[in-house]
Amino acid sequence: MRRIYHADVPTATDPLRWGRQEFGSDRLAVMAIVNATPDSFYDKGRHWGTAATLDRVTQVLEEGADVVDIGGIKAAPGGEVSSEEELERVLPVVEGARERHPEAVISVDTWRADVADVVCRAGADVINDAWGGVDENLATVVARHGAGYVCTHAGRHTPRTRPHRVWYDDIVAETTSYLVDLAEGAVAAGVRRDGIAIDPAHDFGKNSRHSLLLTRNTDVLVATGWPVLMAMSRKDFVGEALDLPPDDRLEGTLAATAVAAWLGALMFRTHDVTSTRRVLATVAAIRGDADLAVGRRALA
Amino acid sequence: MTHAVGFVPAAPLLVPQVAGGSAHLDAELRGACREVAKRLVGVAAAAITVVAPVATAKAWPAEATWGFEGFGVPRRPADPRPRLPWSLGIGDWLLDDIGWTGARNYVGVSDDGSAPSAASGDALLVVGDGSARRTEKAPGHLDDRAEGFDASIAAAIRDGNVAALGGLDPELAADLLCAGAPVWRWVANAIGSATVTESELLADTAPYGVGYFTGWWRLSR
Repeated sequence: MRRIYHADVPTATDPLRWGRQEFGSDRLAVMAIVNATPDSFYDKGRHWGTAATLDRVTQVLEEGADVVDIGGIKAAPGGEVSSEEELERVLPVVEGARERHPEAVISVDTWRADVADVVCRAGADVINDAWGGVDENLATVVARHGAGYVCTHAGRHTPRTRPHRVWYDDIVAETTSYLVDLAEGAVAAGVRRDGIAIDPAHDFGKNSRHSLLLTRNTDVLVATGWPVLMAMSRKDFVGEALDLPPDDRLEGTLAATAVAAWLGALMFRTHDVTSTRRVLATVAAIRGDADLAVGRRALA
Repeated sequence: MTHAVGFVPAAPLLVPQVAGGSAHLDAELRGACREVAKRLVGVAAAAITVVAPVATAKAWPAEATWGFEGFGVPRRPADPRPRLPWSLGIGDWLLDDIGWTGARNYVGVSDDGSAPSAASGDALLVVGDGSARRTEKAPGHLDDRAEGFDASIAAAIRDGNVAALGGLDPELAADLLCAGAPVWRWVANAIGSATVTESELLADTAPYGVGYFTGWWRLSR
């Protein structure tokens, strides 16, 4: 629609193509977290077991998720999970989801190239490299399958380690340049340019102030021209802004979502699809990117 | 020569501007650190030397000051002085906090124990802590060896045992993410043949899975 009194807000330029879907600034997108784990920080195994995890996939798609992001290893430290075990958890979910939901975009959250190779063959559309380029073969595997790729900034930390007293002279500049390098490196490795999104990875390798600074400067990330994914759902930076545990971080997450959406982020990874969808629809209406769903008030 | 040594943790959250709204939760530990710093001031005729773990060993100019911008804390307004690394900054902040206006030196000790030849002051304010692997929620997750390791640190500080504090196994210390070990080794060397005549452990705690010690030594030849 044509904007009236349009605000000077940044918009991503090129659309992102994942699976059979296309996402541009006129379509803010929701990536639903689907944990194929017994021990992730928020759901703590609520959907553990292939059947329950597949039900969760169906549920989030019915709630309006554009992408399901299936992960087999919790981010926090804990018992070692081998590639074989990761695949035992994730592969049946990818296969089942592919079969039941041919249109859905299926992402797998893994830092391992061997796991990525198997799940892409089973129909995964996207690899979410949530630990930021640890496995140097990952981009090549993604390229071979023509899959989409999420580049993240985890402060060069070893997967599943906690940040401790991490210092950045300029967190926004370092994260931005790291992500651009990672994205360009992925293109050089053969990954589709229109399949790449960048994610500053809130909390990963960062304290809460770092994550807040990145949220405040979402427009800097957007200005790189790469589509920006924000993974903020119920994370500690929200918890520390409010002094609340994960169960009570929905409103804080949604506030961060609204701010980042306003500043031009494209996609939002979340545990809470319905409420995120509503927030994004409202932001789109405020920005003038979407028309009213109903235009009746004082108009009848 | 060195007359006294004060031990405080290398926890950024000791600085209220860093801890934000939860600063009050660590008031007791911060109070113990202030007490140690005040005792140093009591014996320091001329200068206090801050010693802390750093990435690269280096001496900093006396006019340098603390700043925690790299943790995302807002920059101090209109202060052109050079910034210390955050670990030295914790000691420097503490000296500001108790109102020390005398001379200061800064010694950064790297992981391998190297440090610039120090202009050693009358008193050393030593910034460092024990294992960061004390609990499952600790920064380095749980390591069963951490509690015993930290107990030996607490005992060495409490008893004024220079050899024990300076002789911690470097490999084990690295495994257990103990930021203090290289610094304490440097301190033991700096003290040399002096005798600890008075020692006290003011705090021994690990509220966030990192071993924090606050202590005090008085020395004589």
